[in-house]
Amino acid sequence: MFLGFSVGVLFLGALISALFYRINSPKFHGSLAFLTSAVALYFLNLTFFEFIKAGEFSWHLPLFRWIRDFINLDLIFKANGLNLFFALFGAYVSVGINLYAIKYMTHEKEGFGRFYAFIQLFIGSYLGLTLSENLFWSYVFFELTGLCSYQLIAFWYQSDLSSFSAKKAFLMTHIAGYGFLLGALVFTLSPDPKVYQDLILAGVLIAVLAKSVQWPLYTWIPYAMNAPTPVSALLHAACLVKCGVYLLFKFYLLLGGFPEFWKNLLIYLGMFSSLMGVLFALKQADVKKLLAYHTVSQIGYMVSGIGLGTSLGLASSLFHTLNHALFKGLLFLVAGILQQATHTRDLSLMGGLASKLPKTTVLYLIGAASISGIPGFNGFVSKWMFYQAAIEANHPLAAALGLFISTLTTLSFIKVLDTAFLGKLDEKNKQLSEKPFYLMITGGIILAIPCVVFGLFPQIAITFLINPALSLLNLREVNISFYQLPTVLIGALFILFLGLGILIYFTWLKPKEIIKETEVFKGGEDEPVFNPTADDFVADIENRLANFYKKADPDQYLLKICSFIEGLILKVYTTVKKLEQIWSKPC
Amino acid sequence: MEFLKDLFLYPGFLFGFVLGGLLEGFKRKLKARMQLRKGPPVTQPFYDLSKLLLKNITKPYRISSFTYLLIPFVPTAALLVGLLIMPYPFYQEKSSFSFDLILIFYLTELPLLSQIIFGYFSNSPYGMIGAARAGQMFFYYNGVFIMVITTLCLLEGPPYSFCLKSIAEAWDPLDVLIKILTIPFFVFSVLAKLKLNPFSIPDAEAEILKGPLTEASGVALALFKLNYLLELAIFGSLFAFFYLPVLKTSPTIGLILILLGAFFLFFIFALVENATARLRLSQFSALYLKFLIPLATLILVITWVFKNW
Amino acid sequence: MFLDAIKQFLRYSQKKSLWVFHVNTGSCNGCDIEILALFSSKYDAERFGIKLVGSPKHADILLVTGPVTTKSRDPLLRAYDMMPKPKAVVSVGVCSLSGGVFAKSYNVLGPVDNFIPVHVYVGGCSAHPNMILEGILRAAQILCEEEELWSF
Repeated sequence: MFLGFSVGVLFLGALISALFYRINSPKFHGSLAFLTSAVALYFLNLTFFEFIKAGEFSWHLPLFRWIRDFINLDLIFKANGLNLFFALFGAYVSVGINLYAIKYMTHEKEGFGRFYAFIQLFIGSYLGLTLSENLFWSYVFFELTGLCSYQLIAFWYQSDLSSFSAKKAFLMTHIAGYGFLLGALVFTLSPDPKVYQDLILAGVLIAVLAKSVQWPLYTWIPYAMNAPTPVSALLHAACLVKCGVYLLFKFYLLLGGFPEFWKNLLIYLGMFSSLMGVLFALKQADVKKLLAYHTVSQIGYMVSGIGLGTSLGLASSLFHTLNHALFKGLLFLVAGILQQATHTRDLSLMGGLASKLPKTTVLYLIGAASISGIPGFNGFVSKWMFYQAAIEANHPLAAALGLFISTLTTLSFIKVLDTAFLGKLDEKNKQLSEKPFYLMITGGIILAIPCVVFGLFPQIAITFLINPALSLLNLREVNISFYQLPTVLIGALFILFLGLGILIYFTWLKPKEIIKETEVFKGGEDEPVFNPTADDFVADIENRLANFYKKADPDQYLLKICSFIEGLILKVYTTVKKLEQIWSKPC
Repeated sequence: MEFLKDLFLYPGFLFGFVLGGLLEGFKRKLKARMQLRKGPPVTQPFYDLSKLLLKNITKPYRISSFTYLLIPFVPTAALLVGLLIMPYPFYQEKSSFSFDLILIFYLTELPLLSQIIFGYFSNSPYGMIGAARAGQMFFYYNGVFIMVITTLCLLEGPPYSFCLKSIAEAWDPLDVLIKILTIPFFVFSVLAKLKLNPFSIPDAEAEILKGPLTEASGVALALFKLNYLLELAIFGSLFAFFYLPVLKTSPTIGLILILLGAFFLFFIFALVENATARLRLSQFSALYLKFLIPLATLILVITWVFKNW
Repeated sequence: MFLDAIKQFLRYSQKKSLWVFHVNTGSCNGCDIEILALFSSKYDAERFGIKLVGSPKHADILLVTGPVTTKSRDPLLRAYDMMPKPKAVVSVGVCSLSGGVFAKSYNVLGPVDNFIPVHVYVGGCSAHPNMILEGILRAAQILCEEEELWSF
């Protein structure tokens, strides 16, 4: 019962927002969206407790009964481990981001009704997709998420860049829809899906490539960054791009496992797109584009983890999905604060912001440490599970690539930290204050807390969220008891040492007044000769890989394929036209 | 109590500090002798460190002095954890995690990351250039280092795991051959990790003074030095665990072997440091991207094929 | 008892580890070359733990060569200011003592000790490496006797 409510309340909210679009107040629409998503999260939590107590159950809404003999169009929401896992983190992240958006959107002048209607519609259809048992409705919800993405990217539709990006994103995620449609049709219509599983999996793979931004169809996501930041955080980091991953899990469940060839394909495809994404991310100077390419690279881990096919592999994939939603959402929120504070997205124009935005810096540090896998944060746990699963499943190359990609991720986040938060403070940012951003920071804190909690106590997430999903997929439950000791030990040690250090600092170093302030040593010059910016940080890597960057961008090849198809169609068209002219000529 | 003993005495602080200091002093002495100099005493690193503790601190304007000291302090704690999870003789029963190598890898990254952050944090132009250089080197040599440890992880098994203990216990003839093949790659990547001579690009004294550490002084510099010494101890004993039968013998001989292996590694480092001059960053990246990373990957693939054959 | 031993060791290490920062305030480079000779195989100052460092923030001892000129006064004062306590200054060569042959030149402001306190003077044109070495070691003695060390 609550399942239907949780989706319905969001659709209702979307309807209200759309109906009252004339109320041009960000507070009204924003708090409405926050309220509906919080209610949805509450209902989902109730369902989750019921599920833990009583096991699986489902909720039926009979629809279009007259066509029942031909095709079943009932709306069925099912509460099982997998569905609830995806729905829960989506709802949780959306609560944080909606809180953030209330403040963020006050900078706009109009379009609040439109914006929040589509945000709520998106969350509703995402929950619908993850909960729905009927593949027909899954397809409808799947396409609805793409439609919302189109409308939300085009929020500033007067600007050419925004509308172009929206079109690009819509066209490319629409390919995913056809892939899913193919898979779903073959699965429902064929008497034995096992026979046609190659066809089904090909369809699903296309859906994953385009929707979950894998190589070579990831080129829409850097453009999608021209949307408002809550949209980037919610759609292009947390939820929309997870739809493809969810479909992979769903078909893993429906088909009862993947054949060997598809597994290997998924592993290496995932790792390859991960490598591509992170290499492109490294050279970005636009903070949101950098995060977008990291989405490509982190989803590579999830796809690869599913391909491993072992219990630990799938667990790592699920856990990384959850973690990615949390830390990438958080990083996008930080990027939005930076953008509003400095009125630019270019890293080379920022610098020294840590002294002006200290709380934001702490949020950024939590997010960056999580995504780069510093021990003690949640990213480390899921990445470690991935490496371990890969090498246990006899894919050492995948494990090595995963580790390598992780170091590159670290490097690019160090770059952002150094060039945006540390370094020289720009003259025009001297008057900056953190006060106006407190509500946005609260939204970030909602996402930051689980990053730390799951990093120190991963067994909470694993027992309650991941093991139910694994047992649904007929896999051994992951036992991480051997992980408990060192994490607790490390956490305890860090706290012990930090406490000790802080004690020494405040009792010994500070009162003695031994710290003296002087100028920075510039080699005797009055002003430094050279002021490095974000463009200089990885200059050598960019030079070394210049050829690679030129040739590896898939957009140019996609365009070539497009123009080839266009030429073919044009040829057919001209011949037909010519024949028409010949025939229609009066004899 | 037992835990505090582990933490501060044997595999923890004191052991790492003394071993690292002796390794550094040994390397400096050896370098001097190779240049027909007398050289500093072997205990010189300890003198340097304790002198730095006596000094005041001069930090740049408008910088939080708490963060100034916090940045070098975090990796110290991390490196102590790193020492605690290595299966040293007399201690190995307490440190049986099946993923210690990944944890060691991540924890030994932290000192360098702290330096990169410190370089930008201190606002020094030299620090910024040094930090950018260190960051770019990090990209290249970690590629080699990761390939080496993954290759070594394939030796014992299946089932494979990132476990230092199982590497140290793999001594079949084929294993030994593969281990010997990976030694040069290990040496090259550790040379770059420790910023020793042909790859001392981030703190090239002649151009950018001390690189990221230009603005560090007093206790902060002492902590950075301490981190460096602990790193030396970790990599010295990692060499011994990888390439010497440390865990195959009695614990006493194992401990002696660890010391021997570490000092042998630093003998090689002293030789290399004396025989080479510093490379440019572009030369360094060409060397790694064109030769070392592909070759290390090739060895990984060959080992994998052999093991599955 | 134990604390005393530690104190003694710290004092001793102050004498054994001397990091030197070198400032040329307008000398003819003669003394600079002699300072470089100090670290070569023949004189080998490293056996006393003496090391040239690139940043004044690491240094214990400031070596100054040459008379102070108008252009080099501010960098000298800045570098002296940046050095953390305890610190000592050794002025090397006759020019830094009195101005030498450059005294009363249009751009020379005077000897080094007009601007910063100098602990040890090493004469000669140019100063002999052995003398410079002895000067640095004397400066170490002075550093060692300085009472106001924060650790105690």
